[in-house]
Amino acid sequence: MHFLEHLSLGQYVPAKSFIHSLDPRSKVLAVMFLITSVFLANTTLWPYVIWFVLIVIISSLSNISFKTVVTSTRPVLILIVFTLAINLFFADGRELFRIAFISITEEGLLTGIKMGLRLFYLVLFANITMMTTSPIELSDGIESLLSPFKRYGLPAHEFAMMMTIALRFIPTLLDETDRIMKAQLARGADLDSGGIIKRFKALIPVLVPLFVIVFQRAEELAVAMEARCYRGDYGRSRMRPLMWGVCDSLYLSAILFISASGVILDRWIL
Amino acid sequence: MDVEEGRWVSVVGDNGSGKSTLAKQLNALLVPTRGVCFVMGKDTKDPSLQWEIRKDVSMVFQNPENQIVASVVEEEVAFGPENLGLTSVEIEERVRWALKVTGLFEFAHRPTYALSGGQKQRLALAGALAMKPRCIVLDEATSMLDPEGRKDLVEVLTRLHHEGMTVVMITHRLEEILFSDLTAVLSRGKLAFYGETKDLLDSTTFALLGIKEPPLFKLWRNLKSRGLLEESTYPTVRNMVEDLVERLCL
Amino acid sequence: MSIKVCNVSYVYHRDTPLETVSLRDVSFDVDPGEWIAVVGHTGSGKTTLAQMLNGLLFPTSGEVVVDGLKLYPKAPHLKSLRRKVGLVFQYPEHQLFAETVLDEMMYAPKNFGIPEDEARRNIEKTLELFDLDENVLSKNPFELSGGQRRKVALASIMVVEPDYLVLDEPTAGLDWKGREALFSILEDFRTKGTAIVQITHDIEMVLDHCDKLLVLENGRKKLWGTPAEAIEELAEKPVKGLVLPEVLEFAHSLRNAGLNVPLTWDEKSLLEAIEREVSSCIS
Repeated sequence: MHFLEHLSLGQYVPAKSFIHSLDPRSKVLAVMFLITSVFLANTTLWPYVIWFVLIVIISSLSNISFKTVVTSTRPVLILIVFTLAINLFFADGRELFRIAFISITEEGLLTGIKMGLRLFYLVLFANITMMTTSPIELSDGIESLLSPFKRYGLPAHEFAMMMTIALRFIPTLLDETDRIMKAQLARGADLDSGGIIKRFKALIPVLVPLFVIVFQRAEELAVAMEARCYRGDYGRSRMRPLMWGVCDSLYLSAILFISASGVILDRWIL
Repeated sequence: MDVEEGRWVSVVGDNGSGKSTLAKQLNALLVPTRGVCFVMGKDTKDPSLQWEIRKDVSMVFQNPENQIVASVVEEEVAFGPENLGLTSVEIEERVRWALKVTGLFEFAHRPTYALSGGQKQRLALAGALAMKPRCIVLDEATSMLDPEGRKDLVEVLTRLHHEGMTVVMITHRLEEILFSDLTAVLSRGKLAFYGETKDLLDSTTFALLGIKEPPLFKLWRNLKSRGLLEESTYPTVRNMVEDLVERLCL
Repeated sequence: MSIKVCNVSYVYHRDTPLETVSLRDVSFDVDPGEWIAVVGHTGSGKTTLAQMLNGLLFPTSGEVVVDGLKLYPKAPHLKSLRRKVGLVFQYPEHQLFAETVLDEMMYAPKNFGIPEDEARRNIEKTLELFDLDENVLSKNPFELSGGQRRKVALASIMVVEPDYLVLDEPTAGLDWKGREALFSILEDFRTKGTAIVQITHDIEMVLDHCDKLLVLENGRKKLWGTPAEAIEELAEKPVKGLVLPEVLEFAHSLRNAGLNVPLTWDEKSLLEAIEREVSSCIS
């Protein structure tokens, strides 16, 4: 029904699995370790094999098919191809072959593939975390991780609540955008032709109603939350208080070990 | 106007008659600019009591989409009790109860965006019930639903009402006043009628009150005035058929 | 000159685990000046069908032909067909974006390349039909009342004078006064030759106005006929999610009880029939 139907970047998939049952804090920390290590390991292609195996393992532990995890990166595919292309065409080095006036170099090919893969893994790790952690858990986890900084004035709870609501409204707003786009198309709008300026102008009749609706929704939601006795962090408890278990420590140590060994292998051994 | 505990009150009126403003007064989301509003003996103007009032009076709003905070059904229901600072055991229990009452128990772990409009509105009701309120206020809660969704919601409310829940239902569908004990009619911000629903049905003043009478009500009144229906018959299809068939000894 | 819908099916998320069939083999025609009601429960496929009449969605199989031209993606005549078939979404006031009502009403004419003076004349005519005052043109649409915003949204579509008007739940959120005003406007358009396709779940609302009903159930055509034909069948065989008018339910129950009354949703004629029956019973 949607122009945007494939845009499902890391939508939460409720299920019962080992990964689902982990404390969100361990998952958030794990994804941070992984992403850091992907960025640090940049000399050889070997660590990418390790990450690949790791993703296969994590997805099987989370009852989400490997295919679903991989297809979830589709929205950023263009970005990945773009990164690859930029490096491919604009790097100096030993020429491999030449298409018209563009020369393809060995260095360009290698960095292109690495940069593309890096971005791909980054999205993959982030997505698998979002797919196995409900937005509320995720924001509870982030709130808890950020809470030490509260004393320095960081609004951890507000930040986390904002994130919960933003994630909750993504599908709703995608539907809404789709509807408004179609309504304007029916009024003869031309949304996909002409230059950049013309296209942007054509989007105004889509963006203005969307903003109006967002503000209206925000206002109504605020009233509804107030009606349900919400008053910020004050006096609030949780149905599922975060609980750090043995599994979490094990999982996190395993991830830490794998990411560190990836970096060490890459930098000093291979 | 006064609403006694345990009654079911309908509030009807056209768009712009002030129905929603009235509803929000009951939950201290709005406070009177003049006059006073007491809920369970508490003045809604007193900021220190407003939170207490909202514990007793829960609301369900018109657009189900705009009152759902969480992405998973059970987390959504838990939102209210969490704000009350209850223990996790107590919250789980309330969530389970509220989901059962609204017939959503099997959906507990589903994502909220995948529910139908009618299910979303029952979820909103479950979220309100989990506060264990003494009164539920529905602000046009059926107006965006299809007939099936409306029927399901009203069924849940009827059950709760039997168990002693006070229900205030703002609506512009006159057919829905039949469930209520009392009806208030608002017209341009003024209370045009407040009394037993039965008295309103009997009166021929629908037109005067600026609301349109459903055709079945009209037929019911005409049949009664011609002596074809018992005085006590209610204007529902079932009651009318039973009565008429009995009279004609068919 | 007509819209022909032939054996149309539509599948969402094709070849994915989320694959759902929205429409199955639906056919019907819309002739000029006709009022067609498409009735069905939520998820019956009625909104999908509406979007197909305007080339916003294209059938997975089967075809939609408007005035002899088939609709398909990137068809060169797509835009001119969108002018011929006006589509009003549910809550059309949510699509308003311009700073003034005038700009809002000029949007579609500009898109369809209608000369400015002609558009101006159309705007005047349309305002009159919608019973809106001239001076509303300089106002910001967001300052207007809910009912007026709905009218402006509709007027901004009608201003290009489409031959067919498809409306998805046009009365949602209106009170009975607003509803009656809307129906009288639509009747005006119909007498001027515009065909109307109204999509709704509320059968009671359309019985007095439509020439033909298309009843959908789970994406299949369940019924196609005049209101009188349709209610005969619907009273006997209920369709998922459709609620018949209460007066009609009443008439149907009486008939089942052995009373000779017509199946009607008109409360006056039913009253007369009951009186007649009763007096003949007594005599």
